[in-house]
Amino acid sequence: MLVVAASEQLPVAQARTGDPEAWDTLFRRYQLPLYTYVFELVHREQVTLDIVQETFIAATRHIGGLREDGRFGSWLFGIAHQKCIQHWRRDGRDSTLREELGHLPEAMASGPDDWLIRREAEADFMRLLQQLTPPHRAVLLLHFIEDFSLEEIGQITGAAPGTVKSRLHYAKQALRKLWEEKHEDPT
Amino acid sequence: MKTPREILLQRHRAAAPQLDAIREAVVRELNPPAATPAPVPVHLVSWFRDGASTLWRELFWSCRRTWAGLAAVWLGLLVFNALQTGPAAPVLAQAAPAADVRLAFLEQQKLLAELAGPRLPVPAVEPPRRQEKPRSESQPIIMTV
Repeated sequence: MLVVAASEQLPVAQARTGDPEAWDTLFRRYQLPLYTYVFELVHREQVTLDIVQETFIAATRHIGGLREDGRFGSWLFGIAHQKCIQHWRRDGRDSTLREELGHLPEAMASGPDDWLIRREAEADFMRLLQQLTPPHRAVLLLHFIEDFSLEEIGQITGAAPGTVKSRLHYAKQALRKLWEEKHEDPT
Repeated sequence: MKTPREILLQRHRAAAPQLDAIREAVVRELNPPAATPAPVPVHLVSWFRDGASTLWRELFWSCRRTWAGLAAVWLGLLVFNALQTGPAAPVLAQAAPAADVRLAFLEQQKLLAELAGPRLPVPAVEPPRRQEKPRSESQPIIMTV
């Protein structure tokens, strides 16, 4: 089962006081998911490590801006997402991010754990994930990695919940379609 | 069978040592809670105290005999100066020129004036007067360069 921040007792209140142990616990909890998310967006190891480090530093400096302790995870991912956008801007790939989607049907209700992938198909899954556009890949990664709600994904990516819903649906549909082209049964 | 999350995290698990290093570096930069509100003046005081200690040790204590000798010389000079201050005024009063010396000086001046001879008055040269005639009759001066 997916273990997410909502069910965890994270020492966010202690971190607000500058307690290094609290920060260590928080960073230890999120470092790998954060790295995964950033890497799957930028695809460069050193850039990813830099962004993770910048995100951690920014978090320690701006923890006062976090309104709800329970939203620490999405707040941290939001910082990382902004860093990714800054990286794309430097690389001149901002237009890809601002890509607007047309009308899309209603999102499917499937959760991140509804996708079960066989070991021999894992490489295909990763390859298909890379075929999605960055905005779609971002919402899908946030959905898969941390099971963030639509509202939280909206806060992270700076998009309206309706847009997030559409993107998530489109991303899932596109991934499923690509998947079915390669495999008869995605589950 | 794995979930997408498991696949994604597994794929990047090799980066864990680097992430640990980053985490430790960032956490190390954080001060412990008790030390966080440390006021700057305390830091400055310790800086000045250390600086003064170093200065004393390096500059004064290492050559203390030289400094002691210099101090003794200065003390001697001060004492000598203090002793000389009292009788200085009468000495100055005595140093005023005597009347016969002043008389001899005046005579020397008079003799020197005689040797130089009387001064002849130098006639003053009058500036050339302008020709006085009506302005309408005067020739205009045209200067060309």
